[in-house]
Amino acid sequence: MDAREIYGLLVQKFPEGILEFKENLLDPAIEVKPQALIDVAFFLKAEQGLEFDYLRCLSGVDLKDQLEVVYQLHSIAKGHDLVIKVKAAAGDPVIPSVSGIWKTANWHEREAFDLLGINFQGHDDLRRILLPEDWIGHPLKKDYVPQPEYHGITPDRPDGLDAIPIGEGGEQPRPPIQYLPAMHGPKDEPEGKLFHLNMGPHHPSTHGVLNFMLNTDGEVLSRVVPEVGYLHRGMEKLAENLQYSGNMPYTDRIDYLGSMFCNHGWAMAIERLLNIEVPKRAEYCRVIVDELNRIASHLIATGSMAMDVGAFTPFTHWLRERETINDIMEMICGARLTYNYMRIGGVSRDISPAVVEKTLAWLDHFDIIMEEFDRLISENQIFIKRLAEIAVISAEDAIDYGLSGPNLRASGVDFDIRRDEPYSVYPELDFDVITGKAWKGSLGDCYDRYYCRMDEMRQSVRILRQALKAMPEGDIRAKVPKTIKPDPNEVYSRVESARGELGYYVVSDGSPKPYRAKYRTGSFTSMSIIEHLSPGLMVADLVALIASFDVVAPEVDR
Amino acid sequence: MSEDGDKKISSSPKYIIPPNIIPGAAVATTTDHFINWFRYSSIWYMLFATACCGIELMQTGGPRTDLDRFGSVFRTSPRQSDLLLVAGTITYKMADRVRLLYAQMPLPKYVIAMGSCATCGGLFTQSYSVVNGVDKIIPVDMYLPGCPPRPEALNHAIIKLQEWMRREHWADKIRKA
Amino acid sequence: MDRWDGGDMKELAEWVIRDLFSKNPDTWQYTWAIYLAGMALAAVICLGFVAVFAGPVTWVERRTAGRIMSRIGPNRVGPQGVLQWLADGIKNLLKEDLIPDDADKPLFRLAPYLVFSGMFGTFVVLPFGANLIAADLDIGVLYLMAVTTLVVVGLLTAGWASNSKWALYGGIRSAAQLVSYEVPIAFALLVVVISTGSLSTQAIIKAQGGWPWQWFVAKNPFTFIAFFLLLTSAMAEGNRIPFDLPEAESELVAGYNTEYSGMRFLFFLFEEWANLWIMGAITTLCFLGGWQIPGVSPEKISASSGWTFVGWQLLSFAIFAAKVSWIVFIVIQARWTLPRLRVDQLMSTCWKYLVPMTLVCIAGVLFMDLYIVQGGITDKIIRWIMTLLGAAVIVLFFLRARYNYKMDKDKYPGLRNEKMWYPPYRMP
Repeated sequence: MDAREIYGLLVQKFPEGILEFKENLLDPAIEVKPQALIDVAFFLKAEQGLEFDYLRCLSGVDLKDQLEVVYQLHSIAKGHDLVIKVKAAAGDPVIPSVSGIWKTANWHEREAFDLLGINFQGHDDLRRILLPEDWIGHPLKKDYVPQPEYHGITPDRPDGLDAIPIGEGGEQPRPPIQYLPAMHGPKDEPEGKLFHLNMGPHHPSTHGVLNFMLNTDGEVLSRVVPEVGYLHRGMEKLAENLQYSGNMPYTDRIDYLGSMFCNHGWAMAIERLLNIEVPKRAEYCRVIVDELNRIASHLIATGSMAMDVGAFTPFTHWLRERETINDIMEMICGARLTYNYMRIGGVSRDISPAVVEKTLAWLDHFDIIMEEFDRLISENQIFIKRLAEIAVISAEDAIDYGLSGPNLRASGVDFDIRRDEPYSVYPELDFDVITGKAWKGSLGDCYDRYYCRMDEMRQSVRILRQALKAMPEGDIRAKVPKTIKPDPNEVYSRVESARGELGYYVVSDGSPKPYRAKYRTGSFTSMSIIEHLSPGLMVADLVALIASFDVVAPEVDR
Repeated sequence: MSEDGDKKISSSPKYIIPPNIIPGAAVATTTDHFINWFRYSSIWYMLFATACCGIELMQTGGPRTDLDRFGSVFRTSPRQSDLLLVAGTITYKMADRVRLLYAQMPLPKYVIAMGSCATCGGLFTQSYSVVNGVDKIIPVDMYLPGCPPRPEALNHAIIKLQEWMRREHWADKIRKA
Repeated sequence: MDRWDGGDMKELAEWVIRDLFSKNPDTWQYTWAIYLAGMALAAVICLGFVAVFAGPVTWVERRTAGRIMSRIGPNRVGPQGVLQWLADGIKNLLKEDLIPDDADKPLFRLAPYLVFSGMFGTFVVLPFGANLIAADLDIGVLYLMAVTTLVVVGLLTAGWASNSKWALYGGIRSAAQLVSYEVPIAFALLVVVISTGSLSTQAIIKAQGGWPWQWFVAKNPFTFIAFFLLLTSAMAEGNRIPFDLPEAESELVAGYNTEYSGMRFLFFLFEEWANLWIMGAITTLCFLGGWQIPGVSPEKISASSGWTFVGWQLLSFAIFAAKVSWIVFIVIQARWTLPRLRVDQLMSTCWKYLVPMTLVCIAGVLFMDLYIVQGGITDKIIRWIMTLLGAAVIVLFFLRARYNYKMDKDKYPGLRNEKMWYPPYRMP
């Protein structure tokens, strides 16, 4: 069902609540009155034939006099998309919360509140999420001026460039920090019989700087509150001050384990805005580096999962294999980790025959190493006991919380953007979508999430073999104007990253810089399910659970 | 390291001895020689990976550029580490934690700011929430440029730090500032 | 002057009083001084030995780990890095003496010594060779069980006194773990005690022989099983992976020693690696024939004199050390291969599997001892079968490793002509 038909249905059902149908946008959107949002959202989710069960992304946009919230909806059952918009006055932005309908919205709304100051009515835990609680102002608002000092630290920014102005001094009182019980350290008053514990932000198994506030009864967890934002680098604000092509190196740093996906997604979004056709060879180059990057990322994911349950050796073996991928990447684009390989309209360098030869040789080698790895750790009884039956996520929960990628597929949901919403040259390549099969326990447990990644690596090897052989001759870059100035429009483009759906919501206003760029990342969305899953787990299980989500901190915090 | 080696290092203009350790370095006794040999042969670094550089830090401990060769192993607790490798961006929200971690380390302690972000803010200098260099919060002994630095570069930094420690007077380093 | 043929330090002291001072040890007024000197001598020798063992074994472990992980491992300090342990130790000595402000200071200071003395106390009854033992106590095994409990107290104290929640978790976990695993260890040792009829460690060794079929491990099926049970439980008692929960790095930061630094932390490290020797020594003396030299009876060693006597002592020590090293090597390999158990799995392993199995072993051994005549034909047949079984286990292990190696090699043409795989790692 396409957007126009759905609009017809909605107008029929809610004659008062629907305002406008914006057909000229690249993703046609329906504007809804704030008062009718809850009813419309409920209708969209529950109605037979619509079944929008998956909220992909929720982004706030500052339109200066108004604040807008954009909902990107998807139906996994029906396979169609819809965009809904709600606007509120800038002075008192109140919008009803949809966190009761789609649980994904919980954290996304908190983010919109944090960065834009939108007040979501009915949200039960509307706190700042990325910035510290005593932060002043909402950075993504267009009139935001940074504070000159925070806890004794002053920024020193070079002049020139397009520097964000720093505010004048002036003593402005900081709002008090509402510490959760777990943050108090060892001397706090016990609340009931529970033990408060802070896991992070510096902890060996939180995969970067994440904080988990635990309430435990002995070893058993009764509540876990993830606290993120320790690596919030304000990438979305930076993107608004950079030209479209200049943002490419920044996208590398969104997800350092999967930089190629971030490059790819950004390039695709801008290409859709500009309506550029990418040459075939460039598309093949993109798929090859994507899949190499997927293997490299899954190597870290599976290896660190083994490390977090106590086996160090598998991790170093994977690091060794990863070095070869890094070598190949270096041959392709000259960088080991943050590639900055793709360009709007193509890629920066061609893939040489030497790379093809080396990659094919390494793939033969890697097949055997995969088997060896299976013997080393996948079949290890202790490893299986540690992961199987732990933190089982049902398919409904996975969709409701907006999990994506291997985490979603491990719960048995057969959804892969590469196949279901094809982009690049994936339709020409033959590969299987790996779903969880309850290999060692029940469907959707930690072992499934682990083994999904192992099998996806095998599929990536398959794709790579085909793509390397089928690569056509030709250009590697399309003709792109020197200064990229897309027409005012907005676009949501997504790629299947190693951590699930990586979406870019880009609003252009006709200037050479994006008006708003929102990054929808897999880790941020999957982190929100931890609070729901954790009661009843043990401390050691939480470590396995975090590892099984393959969380990358900058992807959470951006 | 032999006497010749020491002379070579001190005469080379590349190696700049920081002013705060000159008193010790001037009287390089045999005891200091031995003490420093043991000290620089066992630099335990704290696993403090915040962002992209953290992956290169892990790769450095991995098979190809094995840091364990130099006696450097990672410790997870700041109490047992000699070297704080700040690998990645430090944000305002994280800043207080970094201060705390540094304070928890026993003397003598060293800090390497790994990567552009930790050195000066790097790509994110303009951001509203990024500390422009970790030296705004804690003293830094060595800056390692790169975004991210290669494992070889980190290896070089560790070797460079060893050369530094070789010239120090331990008693000066242990004295509380 | 009589020849010294005694077993331990006490008898050596008595021999000194009798023969060098020509006094009666029971009535001489300075007997206590000689005893004290003997004790001090034994302590110094043991301490020196522990230091010389625990240090280099860290290097061995790191090099083994490097090999397993296709890395190299420490190779800079001294030839091939053999002095790495010295560098680590002295560096830690030179670190700032740090006690957290909120810590319970006296207990914080005390804990490492408790742990260390718990570990070191076991060396009183652990033999090193035919006559090399500090004190051959009649209640040796019982003493062993009692003195290791001090380690638990130390770890719990460390966890509590640090006033850090992670350390507390580590302390509580270690208390639960060590106390639980002492039960299967005690039962497994009881199997040996029943077979021997004595609690003295030297008597246990003397009850076995030099050849593998004379060892307790090959005595009957139940001792064979008890050997593996003891080895497993000993790994748990020594906090080694897969049982290293008290200091699980990925869960508890560093466990009970999170807040310890410098010298105090060194004590914990020291204890951990010295434990490897204790682990190996207990298993060896109980099941693998201890220091027994094949073909040479303990009486013959006692009857010899002069340099022959010294030579036998050294040979017996070498044999004992070789057996212990073998066990230590297995434990190190297990550490770098296996993941870690969860705390409830750890407990159920102990109480649901190890304890019942050791109880069955005790019953079985009692039954066998009652109905099978020692040295009879049935006994010999059983011993031979068990020896072959043990040999089969070892051969199977090597075959399995070779199979894995060959399987990879055959499948991948690029490797067929390669002699070594890793390290040094070569790209295809």
